[in-house]
Amino acid sequence: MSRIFYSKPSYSPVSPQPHSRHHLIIADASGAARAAKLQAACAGPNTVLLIAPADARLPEAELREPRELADRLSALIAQLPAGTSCYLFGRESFIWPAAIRLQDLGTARSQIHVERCGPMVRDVLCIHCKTRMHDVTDTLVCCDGCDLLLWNYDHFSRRHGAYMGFQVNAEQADDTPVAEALSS
Amino acid sequence: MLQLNPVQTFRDDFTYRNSPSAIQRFPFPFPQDEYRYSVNIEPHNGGPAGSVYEHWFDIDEHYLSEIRERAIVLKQDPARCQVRPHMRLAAWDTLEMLMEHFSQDYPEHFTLIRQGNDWMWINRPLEIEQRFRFGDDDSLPLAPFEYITRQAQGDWAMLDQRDGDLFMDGGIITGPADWSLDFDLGMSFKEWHGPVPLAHELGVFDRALKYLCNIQVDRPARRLNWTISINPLMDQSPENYHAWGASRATITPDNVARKVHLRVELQGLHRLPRSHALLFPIRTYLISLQDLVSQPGWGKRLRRVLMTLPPELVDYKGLTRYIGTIIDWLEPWDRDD
Amino acid sequence: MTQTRHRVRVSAVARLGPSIREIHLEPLEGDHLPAFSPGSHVVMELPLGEHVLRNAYSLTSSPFERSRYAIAVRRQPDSRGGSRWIHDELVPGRQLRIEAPNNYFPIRAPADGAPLLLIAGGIGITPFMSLLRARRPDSGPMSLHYAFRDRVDTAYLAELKRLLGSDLHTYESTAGERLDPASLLAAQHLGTQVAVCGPAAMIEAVRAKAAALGWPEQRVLYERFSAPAGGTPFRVRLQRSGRSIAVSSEETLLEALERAQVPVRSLCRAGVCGECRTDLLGGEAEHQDLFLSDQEKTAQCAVMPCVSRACAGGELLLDL
Ligand code: FES
Repeated sequence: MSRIFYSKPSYSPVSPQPHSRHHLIIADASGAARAAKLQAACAGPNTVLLIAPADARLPEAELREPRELADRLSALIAQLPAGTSCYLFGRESFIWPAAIRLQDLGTARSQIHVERCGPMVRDVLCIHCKTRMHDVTDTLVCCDGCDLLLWNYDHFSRRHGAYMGFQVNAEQADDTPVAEALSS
Repeated sequence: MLQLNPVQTFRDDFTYRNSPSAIQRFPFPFPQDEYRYSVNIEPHNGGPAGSVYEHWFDIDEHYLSEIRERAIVLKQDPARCQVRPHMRLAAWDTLEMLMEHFSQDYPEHFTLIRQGNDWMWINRPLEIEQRFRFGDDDSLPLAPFEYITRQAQGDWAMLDQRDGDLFMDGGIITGPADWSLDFDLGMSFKEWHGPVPLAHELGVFDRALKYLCNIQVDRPARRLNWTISINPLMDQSPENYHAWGASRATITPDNVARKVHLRVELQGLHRLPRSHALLFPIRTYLISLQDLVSQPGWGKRLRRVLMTLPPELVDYKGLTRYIGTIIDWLEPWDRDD
Repeated sequence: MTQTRHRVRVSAVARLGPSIREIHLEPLEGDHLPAFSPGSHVVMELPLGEHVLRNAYSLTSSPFERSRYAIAVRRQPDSRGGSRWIHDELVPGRQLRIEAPNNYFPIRAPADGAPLLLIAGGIGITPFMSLLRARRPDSGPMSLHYAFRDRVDTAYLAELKRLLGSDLHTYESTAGERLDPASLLAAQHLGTQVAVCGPAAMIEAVRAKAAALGWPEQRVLYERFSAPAGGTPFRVRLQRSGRSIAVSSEETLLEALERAQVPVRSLCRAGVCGECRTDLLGGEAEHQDLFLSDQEKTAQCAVMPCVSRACAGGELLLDL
């Protein structure tokens, strides 16, 4: 299909922002290594939030449960200087909802730098029954909720941290493409 | 005076019909005999009496049917109406704008009486008489945005404007042409235009965004958009695609004239005065091919447009399975005699 | 540009200081003026003898008040005569025409509950007044840093003290007090929005300091009035018809062409849609549109008459 998907994020490697007063680094387990590397490259003061079990590469990191992240960010916002840069490392389903949370607290998009880490997997949200499938690896996925065969569409919601899935053969039952491994 | 039809349906038995005057005022969207892409945004400051452009917000004979259809969809799927918390002021702006314009433009059906913040709203077709305090959410039976848009034809979205961009931060979307508010909520302008066919020129979105961000109070803009629907299916949503998708494979030379509908959206863009958000009404008009060809020149023009439509757009609009059947059926209207 | 005009009557003229007046305007038709958002301005038509001057003034009344507007005007010694006329001639009862409000300075916090830091210099206080006058207990945190020459000739001080309490910080330069943008900005937290209105030097200082402190550009908002429809007068020659048309300071090139019955297609009349694009055969245009590419603008091969004009003192030759 020849379409442009403005909603599908594209990534380039993140590096420390020069004029920042502070660096806020947030990572899940798959992003820990990249977070450690970025922290090492940061000259100025920084804070690391690791939403994962302890990681030897990030000995100073604050450890948090996923459900604590939103509240922790609201508290941090009121302590960090305005010229803070935020870096997010991990799966798409993790980094984007966190980025949205930061924006909902007033952080500008240009202050937020994201990098996708870990295996090439997606969360897919079934648009018909709203069931969420985790770690999908193929262009087709069977919905756990309504059993329909879903097309893993390149339309991405940052708020949901998920791609849209819709029934692939809704128009003609026998018109089903072959599933392929995701490449991006 | 505007006559309202008794309730007809946009589902199941599809009893929706256009009267001769509805056919005449249908916003036929093609200015020339071929497909040409243009940023067709223009000022929305009125139009000929009786046309869909006459008032800011068009109400027509299908009012009661659309209100009923909206209620059915919302009952099945309340997520079709969502407003992010920071849009509270924009929601009141919307309520005020709709009540002001409905009561000015259709005084036989709607009345608004204001004394300071004590307001009374009368909607005669729906037999509503509501006293409330402007700005006080608790004084209405529903949140202000849902309250007023449940009494209005067409879908409505509220776009928050910040940092030079627009965000889809609220709406009531029960009659979409293939997009989901629940999925797109919170998206930026480019993100919710997510999947666009390559036929659109790059840079179009940057220009449009700049234009929209500069829309000022009392100077709305409008544009037309079109696609094809099978049956007068108002709720052509991704949510229900598994239920309606199969209809695209049912078009035959015998049923094409009745079943295939040109679907035209009159999209408005209005600056909401206090919140500085944009109100984005999407008013949908549906016309069957057999009604469409009753107007001189329309059959020929639609055929020429479909014949020159780039393949990416045929696919994007979901026409692949039946565009040939439409073009063949329209052939008699495309003869030079 | 077609603008909705409203006829208003001056209902009061209040003295805010020796050289500052607040003017109250009531609608002549109906009892409502259009609602607006904080930071909006209205263009007011001032009948100065022969010609009409169109001046933009920030609305200082609360956006929740629709029965009247307020504006504040400082007497400018070097003005085109507008402020002098307002101070000397404008009395209650006088009727005027205004255009519907525009907002090119939408002042708001970037998110519910995010802090808003307002910096005003002198009469630059005016765009903030509508926001502050509509402040409610549940509005997010807001502070105002207000710099002026001397207390006596400064607008709204007592009212601001009442509205803001300890969130008001004043800097009186004749008393040796100075607003230091660097330390002010350094003390702000993530998510803060700065809005500044005042002399150009003040705006520049705030922007430069913010950039040096790593602030994102979008978090520094500054007042930038849009140019009114007109500008410097110039002439335009039409290649095909051989005609020559004068464009006055009160109209756009497109309006002048339309007045002379030269057909030019237009849609947005705001330099965006591309509809009015006209080939430029000679002369240099001052491009104001968002449509032409940078290359086209430099090449001076086309012009968008709905917004662009000739460069100062120049003449344009159009393919019309
Ligand atoms: S009329 Fe749209 S660019 Fe001039």
